[in-house]
Amino acid sequence: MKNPNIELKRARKRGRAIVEEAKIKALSIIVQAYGEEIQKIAAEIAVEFKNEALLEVSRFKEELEKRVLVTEDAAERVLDAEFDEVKKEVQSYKQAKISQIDSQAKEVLIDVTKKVLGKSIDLRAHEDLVIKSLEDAKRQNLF
Amino acid sequence: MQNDKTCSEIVNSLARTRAEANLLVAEVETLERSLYKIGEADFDHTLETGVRAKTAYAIGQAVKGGNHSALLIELKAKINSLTYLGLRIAFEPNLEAVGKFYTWVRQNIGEGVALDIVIDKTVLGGAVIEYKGKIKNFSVLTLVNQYFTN
Repeated sequence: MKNPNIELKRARKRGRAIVEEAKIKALSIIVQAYGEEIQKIAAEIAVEFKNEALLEVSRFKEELEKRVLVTEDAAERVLDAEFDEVKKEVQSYKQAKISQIDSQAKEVLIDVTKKVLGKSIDLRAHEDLVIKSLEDAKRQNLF
Repeated sequence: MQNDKTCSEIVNSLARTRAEANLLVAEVETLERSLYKIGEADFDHTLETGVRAKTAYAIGQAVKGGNHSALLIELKAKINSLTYLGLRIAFEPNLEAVGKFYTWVRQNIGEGVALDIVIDKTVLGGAVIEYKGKIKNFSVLTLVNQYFTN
């Protein structure tokens, strides 16, 4: 006597095998019928993806170039400003040094002149210079 | 009137500078103190021994036959009323140089102005002149500084 449960399992198994086989056959039929069409669509999709990708890369490149230019400009401005600042500092330092040297040279000259004059003016010349001073004072209405 | 002229002459010859004026005042005061003394401290002895010879001569001539006290008082007043012309100069002037400066002052400013000489070698030459509160700098030092400044 046959076990009904075992028979039922066998029947299900066969059923599933039949369905699987049917699916494969159906797919085979579809591929045979629409294979070219599917390949064509896939190729179109690939081209479309490629174009979009290229466009996006191009945009990215353009944007990148713009940003590089902006960055270059900004860097150039900063460098120019720093260069100007350094140039001013150098000029200022140079001017200060020149003034210092000028002043020192002047002091030396004044000192030498004083020493030379102090020794070279004789008594008579001193007297004449004092009388001349008095006359200048009179001309300037000091008296 | 006579005293005034005499005193002016004495001042002009013996008080040409502040230093001379101070010395002359001291001598006049010495003579004033001797007026009331007798013996070796009296006026005549003091005139001979207590003051310089040139002072003794000038005052001796002036008091002949006159009032000693009045003359001395007037002389002191005359000295004290002098106006001074400040001269800052670089050298020690001898008597001749002082005479030259004083003569110039008398001829160009007038009587009653004496010199107040200060020696300052830093002025180098010329003079810094001060008169009645006003100062003018005519020193060689100023000329040197101006030359190098300009």
